[in-house]
Amino acid sequence: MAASTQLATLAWRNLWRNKLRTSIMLGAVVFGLVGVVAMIGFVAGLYSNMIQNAIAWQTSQLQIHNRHYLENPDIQDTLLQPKVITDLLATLPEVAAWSERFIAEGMVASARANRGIRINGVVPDQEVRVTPIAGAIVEGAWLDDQGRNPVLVSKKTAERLKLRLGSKIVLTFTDAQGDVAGAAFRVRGIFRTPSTNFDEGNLFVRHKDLAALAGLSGSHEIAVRLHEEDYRAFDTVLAVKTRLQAVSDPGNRIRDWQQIQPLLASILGQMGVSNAIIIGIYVVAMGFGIVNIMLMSVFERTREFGVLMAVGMQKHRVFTLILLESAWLGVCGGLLGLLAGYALMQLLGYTGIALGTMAEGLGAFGADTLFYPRVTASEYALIFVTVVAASLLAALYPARQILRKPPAEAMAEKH
Amino acid sequence: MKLAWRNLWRQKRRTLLTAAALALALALSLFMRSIQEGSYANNIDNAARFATGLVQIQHPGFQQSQSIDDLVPMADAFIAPVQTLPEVSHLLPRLESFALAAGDQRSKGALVMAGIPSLENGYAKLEERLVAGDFLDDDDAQVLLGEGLAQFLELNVGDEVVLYGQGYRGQTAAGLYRIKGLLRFPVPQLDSQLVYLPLPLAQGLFSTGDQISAWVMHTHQLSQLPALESKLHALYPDHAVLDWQALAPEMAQQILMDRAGGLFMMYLLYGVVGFGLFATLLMMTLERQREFAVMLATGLLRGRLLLLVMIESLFIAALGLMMGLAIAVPVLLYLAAHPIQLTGQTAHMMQELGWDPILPALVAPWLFINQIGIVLMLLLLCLLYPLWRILRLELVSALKGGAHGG
Repeated sequence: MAASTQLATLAWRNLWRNKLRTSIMLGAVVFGLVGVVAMIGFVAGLYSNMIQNAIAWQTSQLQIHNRHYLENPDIQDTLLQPKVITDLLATLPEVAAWSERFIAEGMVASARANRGIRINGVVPDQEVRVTPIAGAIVEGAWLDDQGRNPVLVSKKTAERLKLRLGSKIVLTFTDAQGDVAGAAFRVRGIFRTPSTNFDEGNLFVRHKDLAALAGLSGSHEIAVRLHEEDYRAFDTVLAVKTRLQAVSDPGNRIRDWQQIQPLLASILGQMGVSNAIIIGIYVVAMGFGIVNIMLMSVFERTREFGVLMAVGMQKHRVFTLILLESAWLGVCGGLLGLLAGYALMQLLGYTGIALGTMAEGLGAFGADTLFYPRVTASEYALIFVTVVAASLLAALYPARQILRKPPAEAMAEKH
Repeated sequence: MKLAWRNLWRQKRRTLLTAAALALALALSLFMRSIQEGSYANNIDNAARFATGLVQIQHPGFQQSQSIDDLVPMADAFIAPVQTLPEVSHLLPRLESFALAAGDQRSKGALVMAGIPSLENGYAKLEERLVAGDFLDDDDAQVLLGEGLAQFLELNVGDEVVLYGQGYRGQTAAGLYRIKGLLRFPVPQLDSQLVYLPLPLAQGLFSTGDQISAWVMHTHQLSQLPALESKLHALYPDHAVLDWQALAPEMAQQILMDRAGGLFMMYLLYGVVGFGLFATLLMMTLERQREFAVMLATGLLRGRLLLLVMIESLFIAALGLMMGLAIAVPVLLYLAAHPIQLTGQTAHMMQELGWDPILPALVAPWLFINQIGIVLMLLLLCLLYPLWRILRLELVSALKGGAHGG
């Protein structure tokens, strides 16, 4: 035990015999790692922002529909026995809120132009507790019980149709009898969400107005928001889903957000792979540098190693010594690099990354223009382990080269 | 020169390793950048062909309103000046609007697009999207539907679809059309919304007369676009001349972000490799201080010595460049001819974003020159300090001192 500590100390001292060279290599490792951490943090931050937004705005954690409605959204296929479901939702402690929606695919028209749109009939009090819509109103107010046929349109739709607060629009869709139903609505408010796709395709009216217009009762969709909002806490979502499935009519289908948008789930899976590739590339590039440094450092001490072996140091200990020197380099570089990377992430986590000029591109992804980088502890650990492993691997070649020389010849070498 | 070459091979391993690190960085960067730029060019071309064209002439209000009231003339007199421009490879009239599409039981808001089928087929390759039925003739009174829309409306080839909406200046637009074929698009927004009509039929439906929403143009090469735009601006001062960046800002910005990400990765990689190069060059100078001192003492001019070191480093860089290019070029040439076809969820994701799920490589001289320039810059940067050390090398102490100064 004492011997191996001694060897480690010796390796540490050897490393610092050429301060300049070691510092350059440490610089390379630190520089590379800060960059890798920044890149991983940026990508993960962007994607998790996108996923959180999609859950918050579009999918919620769970949605319940009639099975027929999911196959082909027919306005007649409302939820079966919604009362049983909402009764249970009211008793579950994990559930923060839910919203019952009446949905119609139709057209919105102003005197100016018209467009296809999804008409969301919502209960105003319920909806605000499920999605952040009330906070996304840029003009006017959220729906309430006052007035006749109020409607909330997106900023984008308002621009397209040249609408202002109080403007009249006509909504048309096919009703339960297969006839075209339509009525005039007045713009009560204008909203803007992070997703341009959502904004282009959705508007909000009151549940009761839309249901009355369609000549139907009930709802097509129940969206459920849980208290636990972190998308990584998927177990809670599944637990609630199982509870709901137990009581719900088998004609309904309960889907979690990963089923509603499988793409989001696949993004999560891919992020791991692409991070591993990025880390791999940088570590290989660093590895080349380390091999070179170790080669130099080992060969200029050929004579010294010859002496060490001649006075009775076993080959495997010399070998270990060289590996340890390289390992120290990896450990120091890894720790310093991650520390610097961590500091940078903390700083950016405080200020946020603002990409205001990229608003439209980010909007197509459904991401905010200000988001926060995100690097998990396991990613830091992975980077550290990879760097140390690479530095050990990089030392193998120089160590083998030096051990192939017979001690006598090594001692005679003048360099 | 000869001396430099020989010196290099005194440390065979080190030279090779440094060159290999450079080669790795070069090959990876070149590979990544070619694929990036290749996909951008492909996406721009693709998006342009079906959606926006590379450049359009529109009514100034159309982009905001997308209204059927904001139109441009289709008359020959209006467009004749464009037909003589040498840059234009395709010139197509298009009419776009919205209408409620209804089957027997259901209806849905639909995106109505109209063009001249024979012209569109040469440009947008619409016929390749056909999954059922037949393609339209120019004077057909039938329509094509997106497959998703047809499924929603429970309609099939041969059935009739009702289009109902707002026509020119508040007139009612209503018509009943037989479905001649179904089109499949990877982008859901199109697949579940599109109704495609021959232009005269759509002009009848919306009562627009001899007017259209836009003249869509494509150039022979992407690089001709700026020249074409400025000519169009001069020819049509009262109309909006919009290029694909203005028509699809989402895509333009996504490309910008993606490119920035790629460049960041590339510079980072070169940075890491640069440190290695710096270490090698510095060691190369420091451990030979005595040798240099001897050379100086025996009458070699300091300028010549600096030149010697520079040539040695240049050799390393050149070696790295050649190795890198030797790896990258054949692969890239192969990929340019046979693009990587993505499959599975990645492909699905790209399609949802409206991109083609292939990764073609762009092999353009500027990409190569760019990389070589970066390597040379890196070399220069790494050489500054070692050269400075040689400049202030003190003869006496270096002659006396050991082989390696620290």
